[in-house]
Amino acid sequence: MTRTTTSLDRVVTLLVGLTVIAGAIIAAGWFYGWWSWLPAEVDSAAALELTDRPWWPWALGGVTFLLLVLGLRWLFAHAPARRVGVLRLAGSGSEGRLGVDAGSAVAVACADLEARHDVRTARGVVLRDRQQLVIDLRLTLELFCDLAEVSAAVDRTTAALTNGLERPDLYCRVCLDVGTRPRSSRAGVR
Amino acid sequence: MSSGSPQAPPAAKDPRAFARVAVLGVLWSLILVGLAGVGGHDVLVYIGPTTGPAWIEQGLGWTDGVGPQYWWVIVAVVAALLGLLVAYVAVRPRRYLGTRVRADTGVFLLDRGLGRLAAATAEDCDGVDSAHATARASTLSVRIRGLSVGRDRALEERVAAALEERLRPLQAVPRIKVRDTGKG
Repeated sequence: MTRTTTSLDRVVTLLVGLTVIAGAIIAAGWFYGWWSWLPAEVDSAAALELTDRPWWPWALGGVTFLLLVLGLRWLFAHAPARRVGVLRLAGSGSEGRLGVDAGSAVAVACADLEARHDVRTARGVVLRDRQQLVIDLRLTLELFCDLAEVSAAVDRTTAALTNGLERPDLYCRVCLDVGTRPRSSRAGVR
Repeated sequence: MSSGSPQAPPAAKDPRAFARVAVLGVLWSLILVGLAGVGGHDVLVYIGPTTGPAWIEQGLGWTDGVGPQYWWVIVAVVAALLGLLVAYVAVRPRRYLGTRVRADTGVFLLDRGLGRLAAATAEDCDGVDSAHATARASTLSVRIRGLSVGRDRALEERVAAALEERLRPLQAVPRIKVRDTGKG
């Protein structure tokens, strides 16, 4: 989902919210007679007359097509961040393409991090997120971890990964979680 | 980092919580598709393949001559509250999920992890029986149960100092609030 889609969602949602509030105030005021400019009852005659015009089906068809296209376009714009399957490598050209399986490349980095005593699990993907090509790693750390040491290790591993791939356009986001205390260590004397 | 070692990749944008407004965005887009369905039905009625009344005309016919009624006020109150809620969802910013850790690339400690780390750190302090911590909006709240009957302010200070030391690698150490509830 792009920033444009989120902005559109926000603007339309705000407009809908304000319109509903305005409609509610008008409807309640109509019942209590606060608005002198409103008629005593709804008159749809003029609108019904429009539907009898010869151009009405054509106009309706055009608006329907527009609503369908806009609605579907907007709906599919909400697809979650796209995972990248293959990363194109430097050296690709007309003679052939060089690519690497992004999942495998990240899995190697995760295995490297998981080999540390203070990292319980490491998972990762490459995805497109908010106009960036992102290596997204999730690490679960042990309770005794040292954050400075872990971040230094992450720096080394991700540097080796992007250096090996020769893709300077890759960004990196590593989210650290901390595991719960192992069940066996809960009992006994601390 | 030495000049010879490879450069860590630049930090990606901060991890943010799911934008709840997207749920409403999907709803509005489905409503547009639904309206297109109504329009499509009526077009088919006008050009012939479908028989029956055109829905838009039928709807206009139903509303003709309707005047304000008491139940409108009840619906209006509910609708106004719903409208306020919808407007609030529209302007509500997405929550940050973690705190940045000092690193060359983008490393973030998630709030849940920060809470667990803080609770473990507090429990490792001498005189703490158990601890529970929650991290939210750059504030870390730690509730501890000490060994004394009442509140032990010295213990609270010791725990806060230990937490500050443990969380020093964070780019911005959250505001730490420690509260000893005593052993009760």
